[in-house]
Amino acid sequence: MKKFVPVLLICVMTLSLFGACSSNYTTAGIFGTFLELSLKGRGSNKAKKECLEELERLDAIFSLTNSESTITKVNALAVGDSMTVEEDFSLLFSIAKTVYDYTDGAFNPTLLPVSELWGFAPYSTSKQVADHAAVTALVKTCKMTVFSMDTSTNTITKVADGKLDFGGIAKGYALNRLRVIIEDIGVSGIINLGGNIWATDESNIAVTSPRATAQYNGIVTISNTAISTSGDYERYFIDDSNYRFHHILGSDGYPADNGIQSVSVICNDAAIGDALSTAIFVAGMDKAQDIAAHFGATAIVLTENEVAIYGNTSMSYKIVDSSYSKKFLG
Amino acid sequence: MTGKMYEKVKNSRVVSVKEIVALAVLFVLCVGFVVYLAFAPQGLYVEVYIDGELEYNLPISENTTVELEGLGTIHIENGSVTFVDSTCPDHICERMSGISGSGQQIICLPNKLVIKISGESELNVDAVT
Repeated sequence: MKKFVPVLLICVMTLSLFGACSSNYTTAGIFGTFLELSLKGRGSNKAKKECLEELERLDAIFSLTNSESTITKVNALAVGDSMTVEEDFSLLFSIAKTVYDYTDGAFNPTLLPVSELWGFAPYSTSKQVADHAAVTALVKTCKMTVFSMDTSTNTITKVADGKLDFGGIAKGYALNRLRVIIEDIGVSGIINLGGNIWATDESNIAVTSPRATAQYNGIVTISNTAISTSGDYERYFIDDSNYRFHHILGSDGYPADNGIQSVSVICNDAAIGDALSTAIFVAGMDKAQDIAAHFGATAIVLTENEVAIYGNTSMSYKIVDSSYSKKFLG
Repeated sequence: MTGKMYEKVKNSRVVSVKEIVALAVLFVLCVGFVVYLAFAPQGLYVEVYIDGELEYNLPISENTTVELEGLGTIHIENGSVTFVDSTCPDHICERMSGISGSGQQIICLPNKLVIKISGESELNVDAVT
């Protein structure tokens, strides 16, 4: 019988090892969104802990609903004043500026004052049709040149009145950081930060059905890259049958209205992918190929009943919702 | 083999009764584990997380109503899940029409609530964007 004690012990230890080698974690209300971790390999629990700590650190930099955050302080600066920011802030500002410049402001992180008028700001309590005159006047002031960043000293200066909102890019940036954490520890799996997903191994990612006409719109297989989606179903309201959603045009201050329901971008840099999903949503189908190709990304664009793929146009996308068909781009 | 040696082997018990019993128990446990893996709860489940803790895990196939004290009410009906009467200020979570596929979620940020469908579906989805 004595022989079996060690055998049993080994069995128990092996089983508990399996337990320690994977971590599935789901939570909401962190970094203004939800987090889903499905990790495999030794160190999964350590990775989870470090991911949560990193999100807390980034929240203190980028959260608009945190009155002590760096971005809140930057937005409160008087015109002409400067302050030192974290390197993360300086870096994200530069990435945002790159996408802003190339897309002619289709991605614009300075539209917060206009979003406030519509009630689309993260701290807004009610949404309403904004006053036309107010929007038209205000939108002209929403430019990234309102701020100047000295990246060598991480100093930001408010040149003219304006506010920053990294809501369209910060989740992607955070995903990049979480990716580095799990890679350094050496675990594999999927990180889903508010629909911004990083998959270390081949994974099937379903794209949300914008009008809930099927379980999913379709499925794309990705590996060692990120995917981010912007949809018109995220923050919206309806007034007199006008569908108003939170992707606001920098040109006139009104929600985009070009027939696009959602844009999913596959990109090795999750911050750029996150920003591009908004940029293409606002810029429209005509600019989609150029923008996606320039950043080495692939965009899956859904319009009413059609799916169009830009960038790497040969990427395979399995349509699940039979009311949609693939649009062939000629 | 000589007759004498044969006798010796026959008389000495290589395996004791206790050991046979223990082996049998282990064998049954192993078979049980394999059977469990093969027939483990398949189909879809509704997982309810509050502030990162799994509070409920309900089969989507059974119609039920769960009241989450101070948060709202979950309805599972005909394979579809909805969240109503939310106590949150924005009610974005209630606008989601019923979720039914693996990986789909209803999220209520103010209440730190995630309702998520788990389990293998024929589409083999790992995550939803």
